Amino acid sequence: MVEELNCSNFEDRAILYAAGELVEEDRAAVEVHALHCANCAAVLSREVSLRRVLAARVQPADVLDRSELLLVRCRSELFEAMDDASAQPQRAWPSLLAPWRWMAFRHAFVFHPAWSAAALVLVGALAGTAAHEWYRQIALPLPGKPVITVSAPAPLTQQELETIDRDGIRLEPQSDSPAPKVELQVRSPRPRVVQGTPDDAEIRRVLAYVIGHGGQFDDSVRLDSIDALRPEADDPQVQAAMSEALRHDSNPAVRLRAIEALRGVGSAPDVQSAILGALSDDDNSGVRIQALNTLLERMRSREFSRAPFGNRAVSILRDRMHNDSNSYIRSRSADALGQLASMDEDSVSGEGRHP
Amino acid sequence: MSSEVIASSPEFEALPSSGAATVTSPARPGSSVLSAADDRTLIERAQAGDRSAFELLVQRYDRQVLRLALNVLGNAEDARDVYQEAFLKIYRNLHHFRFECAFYTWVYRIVTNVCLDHLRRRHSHPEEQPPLLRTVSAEERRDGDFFDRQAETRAHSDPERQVLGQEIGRQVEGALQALSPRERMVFEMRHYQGMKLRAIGDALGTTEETVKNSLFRATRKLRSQLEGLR
Repeated sequence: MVEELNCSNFEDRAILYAAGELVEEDRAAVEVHALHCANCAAVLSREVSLRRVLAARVQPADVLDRSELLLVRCRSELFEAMDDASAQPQRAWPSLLAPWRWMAFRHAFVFHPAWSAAALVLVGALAGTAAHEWYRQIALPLPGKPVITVSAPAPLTQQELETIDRDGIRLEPQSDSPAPKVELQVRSPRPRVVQGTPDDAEIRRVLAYVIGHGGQFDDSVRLDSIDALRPEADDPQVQAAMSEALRHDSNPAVRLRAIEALRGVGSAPDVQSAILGALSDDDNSGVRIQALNTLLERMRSREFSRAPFGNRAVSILRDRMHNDSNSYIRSRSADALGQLASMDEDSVSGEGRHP
Repeated sequence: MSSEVIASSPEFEALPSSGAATVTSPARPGSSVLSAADDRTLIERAQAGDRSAFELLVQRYDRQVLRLALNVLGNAEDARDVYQEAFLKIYRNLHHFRFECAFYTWVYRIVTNVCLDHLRRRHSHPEEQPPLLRTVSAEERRDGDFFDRQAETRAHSDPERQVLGQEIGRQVEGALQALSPRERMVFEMRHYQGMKLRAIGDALGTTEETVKNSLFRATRKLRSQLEGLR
């Protein structure tokens, strides 16, 4: 403890003493001081008494849920709410209908009638929008244009990819395979449903498109798509999509997942460039740490190829070593520079041995 | 981190026991394997869409979460709202969790925010508070210092002591309700959840020093409220 114990700061110390926040040495100091100062002894006694009274309080939780029936009920309601959320792809709408959402506004509605009126107008507008969307969806299978299900997908055109909306893709885990089943609703020019797994080249192409187009799809779909494509990360198309997500996705969780998916793949220059770029420019320290760890792994396994980047890798690592706000990154960047130097030495001595 | 690890973690002291029976849920396929898994494994599986893994995570933390909500809010309906709102937020945002802090810290950050929202709403609408506690009678006040009286009553085990104990409990509840939402939360987490000040700071997104100051203010207010019974 920095501050020396005396009568003027004894009260705070006594509070910490009674709360059990002092280490043994500081507790002893408090007790010794109280032995020699009657006023401080009274202060200490008062704090210990207060603590004792508060500890004797019967906690409301023990009265209100002694048998834990409330806990069981809460769990059951939560899991039902999760079922509802999982059952409907348009998660935003059902969550608005959930009663606990509206509980948060009940005070506003009761005490501010104007807010109630505004809310009614808003609900009307939302209902109109939802009804329009609902009508659009049910109106899709037009007479003469039945929806067809294609299990062996025909190549999708670029236009078809661009018209998939955020609810038009679904990834479902399968019990008999680690690869999820992908279902895709294609709206134009002829409505159809495309199903498959990531070992289909066309499904991989769709998922790669999803990963690379952050603005068109929800975060959860992009994350699921990355997970689905992980086993296919040797595919150059998949690597390009992951690299694109690592460079440009707005969600750091997606960038982090993309870099994790790129960990085990070979030394393609585009992948290495994306990883170096993340280490250099990403504003999220978690992504930078993952980028740096991935680089170090590649250097150790000799998968990292310095040649395509000239001195870029060195200058980025030097910059991180001196300027990164994260101390772990500064320290590990120094390790990575040492690793690069040893790779250079090996390379020179190898050349010497094999002229 | 399993619940056992939490209880023995340096962030937590021995947690107050409710003395209630342990609640178990029906086993799901694969849950016996999962139940032994550490938090990181469960979180990663839950992030990949494994519902059983998420349910196990909930069951590791929800007892303490509900206790916190019940103790702070003092009624079952509000605590239920907090439980639902907090865990649905955790469910919907789990894919944002990137292991930059302990999972329980992240959970408590969300839970304390939801609790504080409820407390602040209650403070801004005091008419919505639970019924105010009865003040002590003149007869109960006559016998000197409140704390001395408490010490005396511990020596007896008669109905008079029980009534007095209940009354003291009501006085303590009243004093706790007079704290600001943040002071109340700090006090609850320190004294009744057994969390260390550093862990409370992490959960509230502030420093240990700030939490310490909140604890000092809360203690002085409580002392003042309870000493007023002289």
